[in-house]
Amino acid sequence: MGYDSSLIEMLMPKILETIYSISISGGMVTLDEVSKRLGVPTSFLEDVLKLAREKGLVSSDSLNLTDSGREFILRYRQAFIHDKLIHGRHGVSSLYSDSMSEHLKYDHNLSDEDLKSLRSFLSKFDGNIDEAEPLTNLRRGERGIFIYAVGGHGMLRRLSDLGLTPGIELEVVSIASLGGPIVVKVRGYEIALGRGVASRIYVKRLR
Amino acid sequence: MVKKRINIALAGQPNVGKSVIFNNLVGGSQIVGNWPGKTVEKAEGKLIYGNYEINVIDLPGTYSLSSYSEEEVIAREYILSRESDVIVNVVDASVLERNLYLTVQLFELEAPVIVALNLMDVAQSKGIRIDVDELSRILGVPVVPMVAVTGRGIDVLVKTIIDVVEGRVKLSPTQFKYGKEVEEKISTLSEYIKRYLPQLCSKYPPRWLAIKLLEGDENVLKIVENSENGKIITLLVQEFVDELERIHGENISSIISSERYGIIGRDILPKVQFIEREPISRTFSDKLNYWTTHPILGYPILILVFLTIFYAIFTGGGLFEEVLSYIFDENLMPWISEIISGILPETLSEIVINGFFGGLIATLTISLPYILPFYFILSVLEDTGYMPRVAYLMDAFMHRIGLHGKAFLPLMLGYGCNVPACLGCRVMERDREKLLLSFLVVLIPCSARIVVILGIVGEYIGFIYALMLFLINIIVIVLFGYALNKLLPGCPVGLIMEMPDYRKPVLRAVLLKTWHRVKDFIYDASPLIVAGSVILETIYQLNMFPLLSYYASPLISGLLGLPAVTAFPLIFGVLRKELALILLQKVLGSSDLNLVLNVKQMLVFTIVVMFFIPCIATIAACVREEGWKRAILISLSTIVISILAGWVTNIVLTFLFGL
Ligand SMILES: Nc1nc2c(ncn2[C@@H]2O[C@H](COP(=O)(O)OP(=O)(O)O)[C@@H](O)[C@H]2O)c(=O)[nH]1
Ligand SMILES: [Mg+2]
Repeated sequence: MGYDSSLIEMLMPKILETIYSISISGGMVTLDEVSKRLGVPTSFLEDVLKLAREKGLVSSDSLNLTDSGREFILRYRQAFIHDKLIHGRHGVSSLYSDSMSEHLKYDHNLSDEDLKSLRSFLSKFDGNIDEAEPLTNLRRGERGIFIYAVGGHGMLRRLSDLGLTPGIELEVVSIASLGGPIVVKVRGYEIALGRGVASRIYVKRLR
Repeated sequence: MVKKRINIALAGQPNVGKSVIFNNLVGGSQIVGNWPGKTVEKAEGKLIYGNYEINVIDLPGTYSLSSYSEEEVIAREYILSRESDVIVNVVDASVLERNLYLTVQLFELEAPVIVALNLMDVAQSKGIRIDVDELSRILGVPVVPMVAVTGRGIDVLVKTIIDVVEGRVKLSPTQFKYGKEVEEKISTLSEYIKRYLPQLCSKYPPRWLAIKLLEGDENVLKIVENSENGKIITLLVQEFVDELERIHGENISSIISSERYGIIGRDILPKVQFIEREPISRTFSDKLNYWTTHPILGYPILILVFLTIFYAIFTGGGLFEEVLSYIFDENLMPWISEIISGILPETLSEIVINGFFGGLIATLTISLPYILPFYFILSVLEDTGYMPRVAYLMDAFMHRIGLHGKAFLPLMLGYGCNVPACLGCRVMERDREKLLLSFLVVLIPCSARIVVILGIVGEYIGFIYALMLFLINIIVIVLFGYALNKLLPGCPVGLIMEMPDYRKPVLRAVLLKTWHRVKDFIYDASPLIVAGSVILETIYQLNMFPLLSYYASPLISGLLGLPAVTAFPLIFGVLRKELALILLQKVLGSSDLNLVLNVKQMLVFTIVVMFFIPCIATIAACVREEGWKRAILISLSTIVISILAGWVTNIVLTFLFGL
């Protein structure tokens, strides 16, 4: 059974990228190795390679990328990182997305530590770039637009399930004393957010 | 005639009146238990209606159907199991937008949904008018307006369910479309899923799989990755997620949620919900909210509320207990023992009388006077909506020990009885928090232990010293919590909690809830108390206690400086904590402790009792919530803490105060 041609085309960059990663890290590029890394069947890889050879991205007698293949991969990666970091509205928060972390770790050999310091470094500018500030800066009665939140999957999921989605207007209803939670009103109901959670929620203050 | 069986399930967000509707439907016939292998409550009941036998399941209340919490997973697996002929989606008409968020997801699951639009009275008082017919037309399913507390709409709801089952009303749930880019990805993905993962499509709707994959749902990712060709699909998902995140500049879960809220805000709300006027003054509820969350006065109010509750339970319960013990101990027991000792040889009859009947009566004399009023007040507080305010006020403090505001309630419950406290640990969303909290709640002195503290230290040394013990208790709990938070793997999660409006509780619902909790307590606790009591009585009758105090003496006398016989009340205390006091007087041969113990020994003994192994009923509750392994670990930790605390007290009092 052959695989769907547009599926093959969509996944070709990912496969070629893996081949590239293996080769620059000095590994032996074999179909089995690629298949092991990505978990996809070799029959699928063969279909992809057929297309890549037709396009002249992989040499016809081995699994090595051709010059234009390498160029193709570099362009693909650049576009990715460029889009995310520079044009993405929310530079730092994108650094928390899994796919971005994976890319940085994988392609640029960044360790978890590096990634952490990169995040904290960029977060210094992030508020300025977006004109966003932590929710904790708002006083009782002030309103703001929710821009983004920084945190783990679970927290982001919960926030957006409860209706805190980018662009939504919120109002600070009350602030507990002694570093307790902040209650915001969104979409007509109230949500209490622990101070730690609130400090990772970025909003644009409304005057 | 054989009745036709119909299965339905109630699904909805928390606090939308699901339980009230459930009670209205099935009345007293309900069975409350747990979902298999889970610590999430499952309520099931039957309704006979004409020629139909309708089996109703109350699913856990959830805001969404991702895999954020155990509740969400249970609800969605149940719906996917297709066991129900109809899913009744209970919706809060006064918070329609957020409630429809769940409705849209139920539609994605391709469940046979009908909508029960509840709390119409509250919506009206907020000045919200809802065009029910239009909502039904847009959704493509019946919508029944309801006020569950007055019973309005219940009958129509049942008739609608039957109409749907009999095919008189066709469900044609609208398939809502996401925004262009996301929709494209969803349809491409679901095409590939149909093509390459046909084995999954018999169980899950392909479109739903596609949406969940994009959302990064861990459970679905796992299922897909484990099937043949699954990795190709997840690779494609990665590509799509990257692309969407690039276009939108946002995290994928925000994107999908935004789109869902977008569907609601664009395609549904503007056509069905009309704000007619400003809300008529809901001054009382608002004022109550203002004062109970006040940054300063909120705290004294909270303290006052809990003190009142405990005072009421203690005095009321004390009176009640006297009445009961008059009935049981003065009248029933002599009568029982006469009969039994007439039939059985002496040792055996003692075991049966004191062990078996004593244990049985003990269960009743704890559960009726204390547990019953306790659960009643708890249910009232829960149904009014005060609990989230408590969590709000205490959040900052609870963070110090790696928990969040919701953990305060179980700790507070512990002062009444550790059993509900243990069961209450399930309010924590994550396993780590649940475990941490379970370690702590069993250290809280329950009412029985308070009796011991007051009866020894309060009586013989001074009330102020008794208060000091409570303070020491809190300090130890905070330190232990702090240490556990550092030790346990993972990191604490923050508080994200809805603050619902205050509502007037419904007596019937409160009574039912109380009844189920008390019944559970009796079912769970009594066999263990009886068994434990029989075993201990046997040990006693076989005269094994001297042996025991002999072996315990290095610990008890050496480390703690107590008479070796006090091992006996400590161990018996595992049955019921107040026994520790009664037995202490018994083994020391005097009801005036002044004559047999010095001040230091009284303090040490009380401190040990305060922390020592939770009673057997608590252990049972702990096993039920956390499993055997953890229950044993938790019990062991209390032994270590109690002995350490007693030892330190002994040393400090000896060397610092020369006692
Ligand atoms: N005013 C009003 N209150 C309601 C209605 N339905 C439920 N309630 C109240 O809402 C609260 C939550 O109800 P409950 O059934 O426990 O919600 P559940 O979390 O969905 O099970 C309780 O205090 C109920 O008395 C209703 O139709 N009108
Ligand atoms: Mg309920």
